Amino acid sequence: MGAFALIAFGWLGRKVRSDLAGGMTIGDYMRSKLHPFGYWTMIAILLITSIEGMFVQGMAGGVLLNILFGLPIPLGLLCFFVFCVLFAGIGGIRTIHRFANVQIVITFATAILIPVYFFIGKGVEHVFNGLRLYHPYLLVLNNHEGMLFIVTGVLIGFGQVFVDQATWQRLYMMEEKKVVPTFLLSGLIFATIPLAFSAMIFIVLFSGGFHDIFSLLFELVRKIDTLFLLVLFVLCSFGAITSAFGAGLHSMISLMVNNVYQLFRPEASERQKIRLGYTLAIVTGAVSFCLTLYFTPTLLDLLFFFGIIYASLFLPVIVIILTRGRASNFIIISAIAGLASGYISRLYVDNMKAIWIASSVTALVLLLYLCIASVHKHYMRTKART
Amino acid sequence: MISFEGFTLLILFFILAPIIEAIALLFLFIFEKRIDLLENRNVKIELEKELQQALYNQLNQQIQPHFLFNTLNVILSLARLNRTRELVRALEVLSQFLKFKYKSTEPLISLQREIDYTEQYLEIQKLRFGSRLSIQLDCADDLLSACIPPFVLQTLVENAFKHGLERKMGEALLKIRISSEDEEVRLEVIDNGSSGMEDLSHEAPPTEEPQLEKSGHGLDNIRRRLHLCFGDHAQLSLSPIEEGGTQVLVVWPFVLCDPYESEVRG
Repeated sequence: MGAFALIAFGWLGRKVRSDLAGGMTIGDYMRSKLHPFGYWTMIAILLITSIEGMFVQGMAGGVLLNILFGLPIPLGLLCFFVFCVLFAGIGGIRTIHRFANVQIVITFATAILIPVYFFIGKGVEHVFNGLRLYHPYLLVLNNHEGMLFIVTGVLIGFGQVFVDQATWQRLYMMEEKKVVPTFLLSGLIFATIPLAFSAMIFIVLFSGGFHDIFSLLFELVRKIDTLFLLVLFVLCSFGAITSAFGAGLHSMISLMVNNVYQLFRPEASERQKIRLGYTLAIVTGAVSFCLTLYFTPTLLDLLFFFGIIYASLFLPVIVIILTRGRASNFIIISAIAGLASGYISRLYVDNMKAIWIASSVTALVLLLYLCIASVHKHYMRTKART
Repeated sequence: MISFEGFTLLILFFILAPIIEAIALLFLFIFEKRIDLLENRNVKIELEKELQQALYNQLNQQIQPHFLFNTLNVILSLARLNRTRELVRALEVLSQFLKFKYKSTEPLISLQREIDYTEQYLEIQKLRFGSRLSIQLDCADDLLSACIPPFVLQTLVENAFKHGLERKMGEALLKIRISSEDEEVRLEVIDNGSSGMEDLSHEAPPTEEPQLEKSGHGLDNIRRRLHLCFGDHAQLSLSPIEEGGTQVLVVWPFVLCDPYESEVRG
């Protein structure tokens, strides 16, 4: 899902870099393209999405610690947060990038070795028979619900990639001529790694049913009976979550410091900015910890709940990037309309439909705005001629 | 419903895709720096080319005042001698010559065009020398389209006058022979004037190799331009003739010029 989104973002990235070459964050770009109302609304939405992103990754880290060491999820989440804040907050982007190569090696080793080991050990026929017995719906080609789920995932994936602050920060870090090939390659990696992990999920599914995603992970860990592969899997999972969390935390701090704090206090020193960054990281960790004490949503619930935001932002962000000069506030209003309709409709329909309603409303409002803008432009041109 | 074979293929794809991706990534990691290096080298080569072009243009520009002052001296001599008709003709030819000269910016021109330029110069000299000057020009037709850096022949002829024929009493003979041998063009400019070696040795820097190889500003310029265009494949040598006079030999690879371009420009 994210694969296509990353490849598409690479193409848009070129336009972004040519529009504003000297930026550093998504906030810098939005500031140059939006009016104050649109800018601050966008910053508020971005802040919510980055906190949500960290919360989801924190939850995943907590769950993993729970599965491996039996730690309660809130405690596991807190440990994970402390580790990540120390890793990304203090180490900075350099530490994240230093571990990136090791993480890639571990991820590929896991994605290649574990499926090969299991499919050779168990035999493809056993897995196939198990799946046919317990989960025959997975083997049906015209599974409409499954298709809808995948398409919805693509929609959310596009939105998630297009507003992801870490992706924008990376876009501004690389050489301009390497933007398209880098995102193309990242997209290809994103396409193959999930395939390998799907193969791993088959290994778990073939021997019985499952309760939720957490139980699937628990089963997978239980099934990996070789210590080497288990260590590899744990390192891969932690590496992926930690680096994603680290990059997310770092980009959120950059956004807050550069695009919010500096506008209110331009005379602030570098030390003050760094202190604010740490405070933000600690506050996010504390808030996430408190949230998990009261409710433990599943990762799928979170994905759908926040999917409404991503589905509503996906089209407006494209229109903002493609607009020449400053983009109108109506583009942001279309996103707000989508968000409102998505969350209201969620009270009456299921999550997946709410996501589609949100994105459809955004698309309609945007289309209306674009039509009016085009007619207005045409009228003004004709008037000027006469 | 997916069949067992289909499922096996699917699993095979799921397993192979990351392996292929990992190999591609590894390949990219290993060769990324090399690719960057190659790109940088290309840029460097482009820059060097630009620099060479700039240097070449500069050398081309350098030769123009050199020729101009010599010709102005010829015209001045005609004026001093009150040879008005010849003076007018000389100015007319000079004007035509300069018109071509200042228009020419390409690094290589056809031998035909070079001969045309030189003939205009010779016209000026003929006016000055009158019947005392005899010129022999031998060039096979198939060599007329060979490429040559501009002003090579003209500079050699000019040097023959400046260092040889100017001081010659009696008949002044200038031979221009253009022939080909082993895919190379040989250009010989022979005069029967004083050998002029002493003269040339004054102009050339003292570090130059043998005495015979010493040359003035014009010859040095030709050497450098030939080297820029043909590298070590081109050479220029200067030698005295026993019966009196100097022979200059230039050899460079035979490269055909665009006939259409030469036609249009010529």
